[in-house]
Amino acid sequence: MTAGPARPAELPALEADHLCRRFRGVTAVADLSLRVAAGARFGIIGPNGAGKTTLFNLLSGELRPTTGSVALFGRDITALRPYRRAALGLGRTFQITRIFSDLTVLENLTLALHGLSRSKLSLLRPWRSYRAKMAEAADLAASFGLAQRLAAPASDLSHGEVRELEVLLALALKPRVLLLLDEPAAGLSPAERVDIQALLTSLPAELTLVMIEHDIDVLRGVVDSAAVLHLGSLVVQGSMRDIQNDDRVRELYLGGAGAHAPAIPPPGDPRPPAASTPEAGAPPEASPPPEAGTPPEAGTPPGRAGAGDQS
Amino acid sequence: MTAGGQAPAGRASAVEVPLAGPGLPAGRGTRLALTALRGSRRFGGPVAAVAVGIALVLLLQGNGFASTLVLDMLVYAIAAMSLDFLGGYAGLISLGQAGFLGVGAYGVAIAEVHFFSPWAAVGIGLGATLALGLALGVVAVRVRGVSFVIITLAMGQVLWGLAFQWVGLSEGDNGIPLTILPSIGPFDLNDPLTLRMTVLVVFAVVALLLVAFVHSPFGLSLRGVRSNETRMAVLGYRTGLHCYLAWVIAVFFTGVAGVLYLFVNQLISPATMAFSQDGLLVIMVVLGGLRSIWGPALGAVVIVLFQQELSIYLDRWQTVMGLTLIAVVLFSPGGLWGLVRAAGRRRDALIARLEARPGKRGGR
Amino acid sequence: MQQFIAQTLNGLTLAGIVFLVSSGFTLVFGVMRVTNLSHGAVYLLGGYIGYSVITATHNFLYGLAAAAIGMGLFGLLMERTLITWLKGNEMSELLATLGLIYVIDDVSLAIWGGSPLTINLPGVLGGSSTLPISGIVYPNDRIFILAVSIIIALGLYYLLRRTRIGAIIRAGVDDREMVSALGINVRLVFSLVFTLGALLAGFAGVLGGTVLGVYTGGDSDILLFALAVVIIGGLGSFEGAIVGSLIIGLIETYGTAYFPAVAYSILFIPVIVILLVKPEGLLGKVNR
Repeated sequence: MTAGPARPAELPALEADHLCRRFRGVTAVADLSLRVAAGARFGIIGPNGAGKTTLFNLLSGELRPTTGSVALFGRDITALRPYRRAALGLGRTFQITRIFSDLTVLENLTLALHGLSRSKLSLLRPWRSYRAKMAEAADLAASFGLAQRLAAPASDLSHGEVRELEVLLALALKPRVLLLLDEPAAGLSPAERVDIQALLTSLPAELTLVMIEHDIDVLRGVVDSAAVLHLGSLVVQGSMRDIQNDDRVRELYLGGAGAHAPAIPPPGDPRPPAASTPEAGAPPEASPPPEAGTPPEAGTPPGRAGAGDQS
Repeated sequence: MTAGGQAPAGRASAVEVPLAGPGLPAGRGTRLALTALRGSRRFGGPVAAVAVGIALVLLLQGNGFASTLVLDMLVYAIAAMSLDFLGGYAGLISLGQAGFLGVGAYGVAIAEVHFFSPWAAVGIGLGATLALGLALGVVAVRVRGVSFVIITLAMGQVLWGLAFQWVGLSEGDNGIPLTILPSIGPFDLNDPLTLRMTVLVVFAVVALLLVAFVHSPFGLSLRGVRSNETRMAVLGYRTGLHCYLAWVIAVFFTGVAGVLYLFVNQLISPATMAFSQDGLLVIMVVLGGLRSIWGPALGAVVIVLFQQELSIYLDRWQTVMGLTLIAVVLFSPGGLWGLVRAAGRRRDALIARLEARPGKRGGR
Repeated sequence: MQQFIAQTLNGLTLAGIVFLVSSGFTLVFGVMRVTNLSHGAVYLLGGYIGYSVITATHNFLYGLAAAAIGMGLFGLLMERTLITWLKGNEMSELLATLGLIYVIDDVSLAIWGGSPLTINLPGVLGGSSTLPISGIVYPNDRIFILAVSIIIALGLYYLLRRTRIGAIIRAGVDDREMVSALGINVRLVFSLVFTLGALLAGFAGVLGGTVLGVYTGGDSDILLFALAVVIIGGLGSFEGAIVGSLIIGLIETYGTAYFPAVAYSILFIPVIVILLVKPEGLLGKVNR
């Protein structure tokens, strides 16, 4: 396997080694190996049901692999729970947005800022008296146009603002590797899309970005290398140029798809047409919090029995 | 908001009066109202707190029924506030809290029966509650939501069962009377007035501690866990640990309430730990208002008043209480304190509106 | 030895009553995710109604039917009002049904007073007979209760495993979204399950009234048995309710007979063990 970007990297930021995950006999991810170099902008692409969400959850620690291992900057994190991975610099967002909807924006950000500091167990000092963290929260909010919304309950935010807050929460931990699940720009107005794009491009160069997407067009211009998944296995890994010229990928994806058309299920894909909804996250806990500003595509349509990743 | 100017009783109409009121210059009336509203925003809380404090001290000076009633209210308020810290903030509603109140009380009483000095007995009572909280917490915080309620209910019942059936230790249904309270030098809890003031001070200390906890990063983290635990884990929080600490704090303070309960009533029996008592504590919290430390204290006042005073005049007070709880759950999830807060918000909105339009109100 | 056999039979009888109560509780939880804390109060109210009807008509079966149907209707009313109004908020449902306990208990106290009542079975059922094994003289009412609970357990099993409505209920326990996706009237299923649960509780109230008595506080006793059962067997599992009832019934009876000081508390030892080892219960499904 060739590492995606051309950067000379001592240790890969994120490495999956022969990952395998089965659900009750169904193999969602099969013997998958990946190397993401430090500082890369890496995409993981694949049609619905390709195993992207499962892979994502294996990387973030929501799921344990059946076999195989995950390493972060050379350190084996396969057995570590999500909060330990976060402490080591692995950040993530959620497909079904997970913010603290009954807290204000400021409280959301404050929680994130205390997450990796010992002060999170502090009992007597009011959280509002942490000057540096308050300033940091205000800066974060300002970087995304949420400065006026600090006091607003997160449940009052618009869909786009919720998406922005979601990314901000992940960034507040100053991760070294950030996993972004399924188009952070999905469902946003064009203006909000520009905001997100601007933020993604303004992220520090040393931050490794792994974006998981089902629509290959979204990744164009954002990532420099990518891996393509199909039915739980790696189809190809390389630079975006290579991937767009790859015949197998064409067959999977590009057969007549317009600029913003949803991914076309490959022939032989057993799922019904309803499967064009993005797969919901890993098994049961993925049910959308009713109070959250649930993105429209996250609603589970009836009859999605076979849709999405096997869970 | 009513625009009529007939009844200047409520805040809202008091402000609208200048609109219709003849003679009074609109600008001046508005300014007056604005000053009053701002004053109430700035000083309302502290003034109310001082007033309540003075009232409590005065009530506790007397020897009559009122002071006993107030003492019970304070003891249950401590238990209810700690339960809210766990249930309201961390979202872990415990239906076994009366059991831990009993452990604190029984710990002291049993130690005294076995000839420990009163102070040592207090240490044993609190130590036993803390140890039990630390041990049972490992089991309890493994689950959330409804399962947590059921598990704590089971724990409370085990404790009740021991108090009721383990006659050799607990003297069964009769309970254990307390004969001597601790004293040191001139500070003698056997003196009723000293005891009452001590209860008041302990209440104040626990309340202020809980208020501080709630506003700390730890308190915020509990709200985060309740809101979205998965997200908290990804932000680097070890959520189980946070729930565990909240549990231990709540159990320990409930044990403190238990020790005071014993001092005040000088008797502990299984009836104090029965299922209905577990339920009463939860009702105090929900009725008073989840997620506010003062709300449950208010709930304790109302319920103890109901139980000990209104029950004399109202045979079916439990029916009233049950229906009230259902009504609160259905219509006012913030409880009594939620109503107070809503009034405060309305006031703030009013201030904002008045500030927005300057004194002159010309074209109409 | 004779005493042990008698105790075992007592334990099985208790298990029968506990099963009738806990199966309703667990089905309601499994299908609707409603934790009905007032389930014990419904049991007790059923016992009181049964007592009054039997006293008035001198017919045990009328009392049994009145309690079962009356409580079934009560359950239906409760589901159509309170539970529907709360729109699936689990904690609100729990708290509201907690409030309902105080109302039902207090109203019962007002009507039937505070002294314990006993329901007597008619004719030969009120007597005793000598058992073929080891010649124990054992009261017929307990044997009757045991037999009735077994018949009802079999009936419920048939209902759940062999009928269309049972298949829908089981599907509801497994995957509620699926049921609504299949175009089944979920509201109707909910009402049916809730009514069935309350009906069983009312029925059990009369049966329990014969051997346990009808008394203030009987509701929280039976509720706690039922809660222990569902933790052990697994919330929502019908088979778990059978297993759990047997465990709880036997432990409670042996405990009272042989370790009276801690009888009530050792009841919860299996509960704690299960929570530590297998939090979803013996036959429960992993959810969350």
